Amino acid sequence: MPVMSYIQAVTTALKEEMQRDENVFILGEDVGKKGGVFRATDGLYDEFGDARVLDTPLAESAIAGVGIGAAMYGKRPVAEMQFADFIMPAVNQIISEAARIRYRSNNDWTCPITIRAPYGGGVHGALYHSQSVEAVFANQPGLKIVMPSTPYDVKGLLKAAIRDNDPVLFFEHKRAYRLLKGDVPEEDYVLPIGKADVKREGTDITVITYGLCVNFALQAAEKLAEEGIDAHILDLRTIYPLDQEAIIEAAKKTGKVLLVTEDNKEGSIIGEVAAIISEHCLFDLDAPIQRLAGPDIPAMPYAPTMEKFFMINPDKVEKAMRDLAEF
Amino acid sequence: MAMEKINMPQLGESVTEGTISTWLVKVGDQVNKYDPIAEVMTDKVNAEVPSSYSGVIQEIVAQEGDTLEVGALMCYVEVADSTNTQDSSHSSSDKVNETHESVDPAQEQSMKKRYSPAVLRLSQEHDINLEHVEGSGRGGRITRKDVEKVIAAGERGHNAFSQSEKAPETNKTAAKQTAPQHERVQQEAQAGDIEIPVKGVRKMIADNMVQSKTEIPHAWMTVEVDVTDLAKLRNKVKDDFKQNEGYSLTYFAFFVKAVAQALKEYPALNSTWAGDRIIQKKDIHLSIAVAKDDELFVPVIKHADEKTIKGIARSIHDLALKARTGKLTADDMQGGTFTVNNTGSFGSISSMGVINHPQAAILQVESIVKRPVIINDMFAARDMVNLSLSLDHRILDGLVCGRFLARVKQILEGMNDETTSIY
Amino acid sequence: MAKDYDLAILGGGTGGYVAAIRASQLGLQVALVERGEIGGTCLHKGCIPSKALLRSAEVYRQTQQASEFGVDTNDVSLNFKQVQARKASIVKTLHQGVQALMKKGKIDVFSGYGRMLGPSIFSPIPGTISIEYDNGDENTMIVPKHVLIATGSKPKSLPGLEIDGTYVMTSDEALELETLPQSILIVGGGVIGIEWASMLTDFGVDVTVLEYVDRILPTEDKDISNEAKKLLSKRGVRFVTSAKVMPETLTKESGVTVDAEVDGETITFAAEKMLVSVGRMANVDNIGIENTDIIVENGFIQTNDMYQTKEPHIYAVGDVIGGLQLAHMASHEGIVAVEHIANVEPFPINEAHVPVCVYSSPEIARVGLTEEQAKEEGLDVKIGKFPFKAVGKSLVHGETDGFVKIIANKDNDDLIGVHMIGPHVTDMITEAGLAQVLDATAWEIGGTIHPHPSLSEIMGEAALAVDGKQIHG
Repeated sequence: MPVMSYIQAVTTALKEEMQRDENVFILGEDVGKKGGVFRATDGLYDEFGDARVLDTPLAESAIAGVGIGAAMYGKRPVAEMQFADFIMPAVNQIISEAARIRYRSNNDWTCPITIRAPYGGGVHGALYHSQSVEAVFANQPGLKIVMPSTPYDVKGLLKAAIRDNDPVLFFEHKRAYRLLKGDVPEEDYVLPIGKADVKREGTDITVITYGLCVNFALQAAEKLAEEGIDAHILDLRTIYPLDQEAIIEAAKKTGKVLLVTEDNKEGSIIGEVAAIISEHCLFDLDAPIQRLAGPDIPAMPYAPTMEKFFMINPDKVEKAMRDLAEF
Repeated sequence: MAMEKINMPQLGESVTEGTISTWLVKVGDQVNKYDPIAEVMTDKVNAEVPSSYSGVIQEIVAQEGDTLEVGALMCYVEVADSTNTQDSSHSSSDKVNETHESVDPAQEQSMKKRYSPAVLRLSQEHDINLEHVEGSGRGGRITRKDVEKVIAAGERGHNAFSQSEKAPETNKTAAKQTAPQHERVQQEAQAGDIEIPVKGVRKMIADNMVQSKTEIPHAWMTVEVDVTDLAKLRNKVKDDFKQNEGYSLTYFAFFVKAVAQALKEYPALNSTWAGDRIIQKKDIHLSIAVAKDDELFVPVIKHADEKTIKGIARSIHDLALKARTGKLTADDMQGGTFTVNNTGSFGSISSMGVINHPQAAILQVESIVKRPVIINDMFAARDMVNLSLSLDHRILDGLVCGRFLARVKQILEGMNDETTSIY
Repeated sequence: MAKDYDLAILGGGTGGYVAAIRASQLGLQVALVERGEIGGTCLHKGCIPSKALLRSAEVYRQTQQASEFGVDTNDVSLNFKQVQARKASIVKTLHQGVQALMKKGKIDVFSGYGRMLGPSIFSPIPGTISIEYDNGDENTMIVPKHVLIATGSKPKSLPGLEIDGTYVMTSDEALELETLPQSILIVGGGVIGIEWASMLTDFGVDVTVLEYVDRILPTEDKDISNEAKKLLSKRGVRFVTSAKVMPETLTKESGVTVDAEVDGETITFAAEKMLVSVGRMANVDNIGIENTDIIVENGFIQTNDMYQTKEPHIYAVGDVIGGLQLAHMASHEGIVAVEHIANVEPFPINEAHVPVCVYSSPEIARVGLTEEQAKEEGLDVKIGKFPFKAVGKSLVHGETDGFVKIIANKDNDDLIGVHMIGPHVTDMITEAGLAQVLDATAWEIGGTIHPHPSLSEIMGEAALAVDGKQIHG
C-alpha cells in the first residue's frame, strides 16, 4: 500500500473523483496553473484543463457563489478557500444559500458543493493563516463539516464529500499536509460522513478530538501506555452534525473524558460534545468532562513562543490525559 | 515503602485485652485498609480486627491463643505510602464523633468520599459498601475502575460487599462508615431556603440511622393493649408520688417495667447480631429515646429488670433531665440492649421505629386513647394503647416476637391496684 | 529551494566536524554551518593552541635543567613571539587538515551564522536552518531532515569581573598574548586554571591561583589534587584555596587588584593581569531554541543517551549539553548521534569510560570514579598506588614526580577508577580506558606484560599493588 502525505491524499482524491465523474470541477485562487499555494491541486490543471480547474479572482464570496450555482445546476464543484481564515466573505453564500437550498425549495433543489479550506496553526502563519473556523458553521443545519485526521481518512472522506448531495465543508489542517504520512490504499473507497472513528481502543480514559489533534492524542497515548495508562481515542471525523452514538459509547467506555480542540475553548465544537455526554452519560461519568483547547484570544500570535503557548501539542495532550487518568 | 505496626485495638469500652482466636491472614498476604486480619475474643465480644493500612503482611508477632493488652503489637505491615496511615488504636476510640474527626487524617484521602456518578451507580447496583473500597485516584478517590475491580473480585467474597455480613462489633469502630450515603445527590439550596449544616449530634443520628436502616432488615408488628386498669392505678397514686418523690410517675415507667420483665423471659429480643452468630445479652439495659430540640438522645436504663417501677421512673426522670441540660455522659448512653421509645408522648398512635443498632428490636409505646371496645359483646370505654415492635429479621422471627408482645400485653393488662406495687 | 539535506550541523567544532565526517561516511547529505573556523574551540582556542604553548613552556624549563643531563646550554632565553608563531603554525596545519577532510567527505560548509526556525507551512516541524552571512548576503535556508546542535561553549566569567582582554582575560584572550606579564592572578583552580598556572610559571611568570573551594582540581581524586598542588607549589605557583573573590573590589590601573575573603580575612591580591577560568557556558542563545520544544536546563540542552533533544529529529552533542566538556567526548557523542540518525544502533557512551586529562606539568589523567565518589556510592574499595620514582624509565627521564592510583572493587575486583599524575600520563591513561571498556580487573592489568624499561611499567605495578603484590614497591 503506498505511503502518502496528507496533502498527497487530498490531491489523489480530487484527481480520482475528476476522473470518475466529469461533473466534478475545481475552482479557487491559484488552484490552476500554480497548483494551489499548498500544491493541493498540483498537476490537475495539466490533466483536466482550464475548464475543470478554474483560477478565480480573489473573491471568496464569488468562489462560493459560483460553486453553489453550479452545484444547483447539477455540477459537482470543489471550491478551495486558500486559507480557512479567508472564508468569511463567503459566509453569507454558504449559510444563507448553500445550507438552506434543500429546505427552502422543499427538496426540489440540492447543492452538492464541497468547499475545501486549510485551517489551523503551528506553522508560523499568525493571524490570518492559522485560524480554526469550524465553530462558525457548526450550528447551521443543512451543512456538513468534515475534518479528517489521517491521509487515509482524507482520501475516503473527500471522495464522500464530493459525492454527497448536500454542501460539505472540508477543513484540512495545513500543518498536517506534510507532517502526517500514512498508508492510503490505491483502490477507490469512501468513508461515511457523519460517523466518528475509534482510532485507538483503551480502557482508562477517553479522548475525543478531531483533525491534527488526533495525531497528538495518539502520540501521547503511546507514551502513556508505557506508564500503564490505556487511552481510548475517538476521532470525530465529521464535526457537524456530530455522531452522538459514537460519542456516547466512547464516553461510557471509561467514564473519564478529555475533549481536545485547537480552536478557542469557549463556544468550540467540543462544548457541544460535552453537552451530549452530560445529557446521556451522567451515571457513567467518573470524572468531570475535561476540555483542552486554545485560549480565548482573538487570533494566533506570531511570536514562536506565543504560538507555542496557543497551540495544542502532544505534551499538552499527554499532561491533560495523565491528569485525568490520575483523577 | 514503610513498615507499620498493627496493634491490638480498643475493641469496646472498658475492654483492656483481647485473645487472638484466629488469624485471618498470613505473612505475605496483601491486605487492604479495613480488611479483617484476625478474630479476637474479649470478655465482652468477639470481633474482627481490621487492618489499619493497605499493604503486605510482613510478620505476625502474636500467635493464636495469645492474650494481648490493648495497644500491644499484633503484626507488621509493609505499606507503600507511609503518609497515608492511621494508628490502629485510635480508630476505635469510644466517642463516635471523635472517630469522625479521625476519618480523614491524611490529605491523600481528601477525595475518598467524593463519589462520581459512575461510582455511585455501580456501587448501588452491586451492593458495594464504598467504605471498604480502596481508592486509587487522586486524593484517595475511588474511581470507576476501582469499583469494577471489586465487582470482578466479588464472586470471591470481597469484603467490600454487602456490609450486613460484617460483624456489628467491627462496625462499632465504623459508625462513620455509613456517612457517605448522604452525599449521593448534590442538593442545592434555592433562594430563601435555610441551610443547616449537618454536624454534631445531628450527624451522629443521621449516621446511625443510615447504618441501622441499610444494614438491618426491619420487620414490624403491632399489638393493642387494654391499660384501663393500669391507668386507674397510675391516676390513683400519681399525685402522692409526685409529692413524695418530687418527680412524676409516668405511664412510660410501667411500660419499661413490663418490657424488662418480658425480655427476661424472651432473651432472643435482648440480643445482638454478630455476623456469624447471635449474641444474647445477659444484662437488660433499656435504651429510651429522649428528644431535646433538634437532638435525639438514647440514654440507657441499666439493669431495668432489677428496678422497681419507681426506680425506673427515677431513672427516666434523671436521664431526661440530664439530656435536657446537656449533662449526659458517655456512660449514660452506652450498653443498651433494647430500646423502648415513648412515641405516645407526641400523640402518635402508630409508628415504625428504626432499630437502634446493634440491638435486635425497638418497641414504640404509642398514645393511650380512650376507645370503644367490645367486651362480652358490649361496648365499653377502655384506655387502649398500641405497642409497635420493629425487629431485626436476621435475629428474630414473627413467632418469638408475637409471643414476646403477647407477654408484654399480658403483664400490662394485669397491672392494677391489687397486683402491682410501685415501690 | 536548496538541496535536500539529511543532516544540518550547527557548529564546526570537534563534535560537529567529526559528526559531519561520520555522517558522510554513512551516506548522509550533510550541511555544516560554522561562522568562525572549522575546528572550533579545540583547534583554535582550546586543546591544541594551549598544548602548543604548554609544550614550549616545558621545553624552556627542561632546557634550563639540561645541564643535569650533561648538556650545557648558555643563555637560555624565551622568544615568546616564536612560541606564538609555532602555536599558530600548528593550528594552521591542523585547520587545513580538517578543511581537507570536509572536502573529501563532500560536506557542504556554510560559513555563516545558523539559526533554527520553527514550523512553517512547508516544514511542519521545527529545524529549518536559516544561515546569516556577515557580509550581508541574503540568508540561505536549508530544510534538513535532522539537525545536530554542536554549538559548543565559551568561557564564563564571574558577575563583576568584566572581561576586557587587557587586564581581565579568559583563556581566549590569554592565548593571543603577545608578551608575557610579570605576574598573573588566576581565578579558578580547575583544569584550565591549572594548565595555565603550570605553563606560565614555567615561562617565568609569577602565578597566584585563587580557588573558591578548599582544594584545586576539585573534580579530581583528592590524592591527585594534593600532589598537583605540592608539585606546582614547588615550582613557584602560589595557591590560595577557600578564597571567595569579591568582584566589586576589582581595580584596574597598570595592573589589577582584587580582594578575596580567605578564612574570614580579607586579603588584597595584586598582579599585572588576571585570568578568569571559572568554567564554560554553553552556547544556547540566539540559535533558535525558542522556536523548538528543546529543553534547556541549567544552561545546557537536555538530551537522551542517543543525544536526541525533546524534538526527536534534533540532536545535540558536545559542550552545549554539558557533562564532560571534552573534545574527545564531543566527537564521540557526535558519532553516536549520527549513527543513531542513520539507524546504525550505536552503543551509548559510558562516562565512566571517558578519560579526562590535564596537560599541566606534570600531567594528570584519570578514568572512572575518584576514591571519594566510589565511597559515596557505597562501594567497598581496595587501592593500589605506585610512585614514579620506583620506575626505572622515569629516573632515566629525570621526571620522578607523581604516582598512579588504581581503585578496585573489593567485592568483585571491578576497576572503579585509575588516577595518574606524572610524566606522559595523558598518553598512558588509554590502557586504563581500554581496561574499563573490556571490563578488565586490576590483576589482569597486573598480568599484562609491560615493556621494560618504560613508563608504562607503573600501570602493571600499581595494578599489582591493588592486591599488595607489587614487585618494586
